[in-house]
Amino acid sequence: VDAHDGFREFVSAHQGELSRVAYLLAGDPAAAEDLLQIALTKTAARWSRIVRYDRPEAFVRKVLYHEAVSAWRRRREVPRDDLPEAAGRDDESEQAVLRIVFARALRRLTPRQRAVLVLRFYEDRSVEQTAELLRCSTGTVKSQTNAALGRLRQLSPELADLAAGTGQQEGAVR
Amino acid sequence: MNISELMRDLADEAPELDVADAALRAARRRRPRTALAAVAAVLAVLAIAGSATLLATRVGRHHDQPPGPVAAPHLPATLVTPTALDQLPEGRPVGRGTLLYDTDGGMVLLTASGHQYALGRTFVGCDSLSPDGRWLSYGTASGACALRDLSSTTRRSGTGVPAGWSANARWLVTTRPLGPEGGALDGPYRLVNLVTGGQRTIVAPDQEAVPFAVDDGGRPVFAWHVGSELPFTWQVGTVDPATGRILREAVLALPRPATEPGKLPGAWLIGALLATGGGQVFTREQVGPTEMGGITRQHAGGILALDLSSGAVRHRYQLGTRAEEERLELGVTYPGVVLLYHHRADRTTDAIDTFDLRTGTLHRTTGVPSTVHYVSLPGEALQLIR
Repeated sequence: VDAHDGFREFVSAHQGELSRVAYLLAGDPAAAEDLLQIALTKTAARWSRIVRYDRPEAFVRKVLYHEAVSAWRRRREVPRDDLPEAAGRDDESEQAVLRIVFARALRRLTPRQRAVLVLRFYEDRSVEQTAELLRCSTGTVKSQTNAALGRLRQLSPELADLAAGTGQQEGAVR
Repeated sequence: MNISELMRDLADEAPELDVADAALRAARRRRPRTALAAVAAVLAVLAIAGSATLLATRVGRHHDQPPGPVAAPHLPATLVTPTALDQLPEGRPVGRGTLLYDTDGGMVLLTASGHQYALGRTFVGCDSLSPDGRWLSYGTASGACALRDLSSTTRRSGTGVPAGWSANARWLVTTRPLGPEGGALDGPYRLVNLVTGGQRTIVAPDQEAVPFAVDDGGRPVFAWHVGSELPFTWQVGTVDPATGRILREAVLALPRPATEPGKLPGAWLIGALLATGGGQVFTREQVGPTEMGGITRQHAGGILALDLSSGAVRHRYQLGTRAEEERLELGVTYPGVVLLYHHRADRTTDAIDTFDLRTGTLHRTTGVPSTVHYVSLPGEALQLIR
């Protein structure tokens, strides 16, 4: 019996959702591919054990988040501008412009701040669940969330109202 | 629209990342490593005896006086990962380090004498070697960074995450310290005097400024962007560590996307060669997009050396056209040499290349096994190479 029986089928079933999380965490397709491949390599190496879990995908997600906040994301590279100019801003809908601005701002956050936002606002995880996944305290999750929202406000005036509103909601959660 | 909706919209733009087969290949390659190690060791000896330089491709153009003498680190022709490793001994010196890399069991130190030692599982953000290979920055069990003199048993505790070492290996500038959970938290940037062990908090010249280098006199160099409109204009400044006062600053004359048709915007700071009274900042130019493995990738197309005093481009080195399935990532700069990480789409023949700034020649220096994901050469932070 191949120790990797069922691995391809498992990845195929979850590829879409894992790709989306990796993309949000990494910020660009190439880095997302690296990130997801590392997570899946680690999963494949332990597949005979992981396949017996109730939710093997939870393991992959955990590795994804841990890898995303580990040091290789904190390289000294400073992006000057990593997206082509938003051509014809006047022609874009307000929503599309907001999305572009948000994507750029998201890339400027620290990996941990980005991970916290993805868990809280994309995956709708609670503060406690986020803390457990990132292996940190609930206080750290709250402070990192506030720092991330503050940074978004600082980076892009277009996001100020949005981040402020979310920040109030975040405060209410506490 | 709120942040959750924006996140979902953004996630919908994610490409389908079909990496299952690549992950399986990588996982399978790890398993027979024990059996293959002896064969790999023999091959390494043959490779060293045969030829230290596997690739010498003439690329780019020599412009004028190079930045300084060539001082590439000593590296083996092929990195061989042993099946069993001794722990780094606590109570005796082991000599200078030449390379850090990761394995399933944690980080490994390769010394100039060819010995390899396990560092254990530490927080990888701390792992770095000083340019002379004497000082090892490593993560402690509590999540903090510490320094160890590999030529003695001296240790320095409470240091931050390395951001830049001075070329004379006397100073280290660090980024945010690590919190109890291991993440980078708010906190001061620090300057460590490696000779005396003294540490001081340094003041940033701008809220957005981040340190990335330090000169031989202990003056940190920060980078920050001007304005909030893309494309940003980048500025670098040498700073008085005590006051944050900018001693010398320059706006980097990076190529603008509008004037560089066919190139994706992207000049990235990769390091600095600093000396008293001057120095150069290096950036890489990204070109692309390149289709690799079905997805769009970018790779380094050139190196820009910018004068730290004026910000002007002093040298422009073209790395030449790469094969479609290859890409180069810039690593660390040495006097006269830039080290690059060489990738192929199949991820099986990754290597560290050396680009000689005097001659514009690219050399293959070290082959890296496919089981290694992170590498750090003296003077740089840990790099993900695959």
